[in-house]
Amino acid sequence: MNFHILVQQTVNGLVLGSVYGLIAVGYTMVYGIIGMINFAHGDVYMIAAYLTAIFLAALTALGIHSPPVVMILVLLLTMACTALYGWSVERIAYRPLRHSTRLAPLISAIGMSLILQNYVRLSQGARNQGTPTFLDGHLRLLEDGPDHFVQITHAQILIVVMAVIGMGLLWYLIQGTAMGRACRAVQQDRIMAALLGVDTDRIISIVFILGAAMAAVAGTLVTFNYGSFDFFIGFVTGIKAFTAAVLGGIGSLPGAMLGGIILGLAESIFSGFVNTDYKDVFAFSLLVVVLIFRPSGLLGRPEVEKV
Amino acid sequence: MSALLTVRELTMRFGGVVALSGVGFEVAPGSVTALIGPNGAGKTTVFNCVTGFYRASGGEILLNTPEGRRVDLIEILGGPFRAGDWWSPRAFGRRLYYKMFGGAALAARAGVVRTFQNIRLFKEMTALENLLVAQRARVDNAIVSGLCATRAYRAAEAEAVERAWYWLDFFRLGDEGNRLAGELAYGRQRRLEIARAMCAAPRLLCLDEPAAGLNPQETAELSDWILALRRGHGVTVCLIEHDMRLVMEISDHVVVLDHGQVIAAGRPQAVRDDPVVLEAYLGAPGEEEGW
Repeated sequence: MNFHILVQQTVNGLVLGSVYGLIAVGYTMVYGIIGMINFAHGDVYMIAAYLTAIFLAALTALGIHSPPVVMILVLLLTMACTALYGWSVERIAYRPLRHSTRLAPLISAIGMSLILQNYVRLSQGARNQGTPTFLDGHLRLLEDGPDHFVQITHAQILIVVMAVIGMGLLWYLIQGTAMGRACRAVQQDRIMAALLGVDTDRIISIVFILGAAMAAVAGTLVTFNYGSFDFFIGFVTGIKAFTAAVLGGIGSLPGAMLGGIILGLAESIFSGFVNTDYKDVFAFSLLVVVLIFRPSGLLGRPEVEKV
Repeated sequence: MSALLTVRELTMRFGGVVALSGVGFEVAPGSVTALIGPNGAGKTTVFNCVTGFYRASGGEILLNTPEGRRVDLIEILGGPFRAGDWWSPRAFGRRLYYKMFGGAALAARAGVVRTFQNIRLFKEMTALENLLVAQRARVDNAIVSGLCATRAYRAAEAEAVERAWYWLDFFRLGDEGNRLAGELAYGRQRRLEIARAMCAAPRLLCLDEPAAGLNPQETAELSDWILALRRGHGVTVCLIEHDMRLVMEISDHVVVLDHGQVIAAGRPQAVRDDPVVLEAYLGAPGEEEGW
């Protein structure tokens, strides 16, 4: 066992886990509030990657080159635009079917996912796209010799820092503000909240918007880091993030982040020490084992039968 | 003085089952009106229709606010189009608006707030938070002002918290404010639910069996509270209750339902001596032990 590889893969796993966690938040919040999976969420993440590239190009064309300014502007613009996509998904695929059978919005969300994928494929092309990665710097830790070091890129640090900041803000918003209070009330008993005058439709929209904005943070940062994406990245990443949400206990906000980190670490350490090809098998086996012992996930609470 | 709530020809069908047919009654402002009747008479269904929990199949439920506004509590839930709507653009527009933006929340905003027989608190929130959620009109629900904690936001929050504590103290829940609602004892949960309803600033407070499961002492306190709410806070109360002593003690007007119809209405004493009512309750005329 190589200590450097262990540390390196732990760092990589934390970064990957932060990305999963940021996306998983969207799944878990939507599930918490309407009890359904948002199948279009992975594609919202994919859209964020494209929007990042578009805004990068636009800002460069406008003559803005200072990296911090560009990054902040791109991040904010992408979040705003992606939030609009999240809102539209709810408006088109969920709200008209609110009083319909439980499976109907599921189907319409899958439709939404297909529409988003193909809309991007038609408008942006099916090829793999790329942006220049402009955060090229890196740190080397524990360096002893040319082959023994742990490398952390600045982009990786940025991902973890932004994930922590994003989660912190979201946590404060949900736990500490009037809006979050209304969200929690709607999550616990939507009808009762409505009977007290809370605009439940607005709260549900806000949850979709917040989820999409968090996915946008992930999409933007991953694009800054890797600089490569295509119209299909939303699918696999979405499935992984959904797995993370289930692992942590779907409906639980800290659970989503914890699930993301655990999944990221598991994948990364497994591929570092055992085999890269089977990393997904390992990740999903982990999910199976966790669900056998804790059917509602690590931090999830057992479903209470609603009257 | 015109009625606060006017219910006319209220009909509710569930598929082929007619739960209510032609129910009509009025609730005078500032009164305590009791809805009584045997089990399955349709009392809770009336409540559900009035408070926006169900959309009634037919009839009229009108809330006349003191400001002279008149709210149609069936229309705001977004009912289906009717023949008349196609001739009048105004009626059509209203129908369309409520179809898009209507819902139970509008009933609460018009001033009709209820409690449930099987208490529906937000069990995983503290008692205080339960009361804050109900103050939708008072607090600032926006994301940005919440995150930045603007001055207006903080002022609104402080006012809402103060009001919540007022109602907690009113119902002697002052020590329980920061405990989770689901952890409270049963009787306290009942009080908390009424306190929460009061935080939503109701004109018409609908209590569905508020005394169910309470001991005699708690029931006596409850009746004092209901009278105090009416006297001191200008609330009109409409309640469903099986405890006849409580009904006789606090209500000004009693409406008796049986098989989805109003069989008697009037002052408590008059209703109590009505042979039709006795028959509905006891199944045979002439036996008065049940009361």
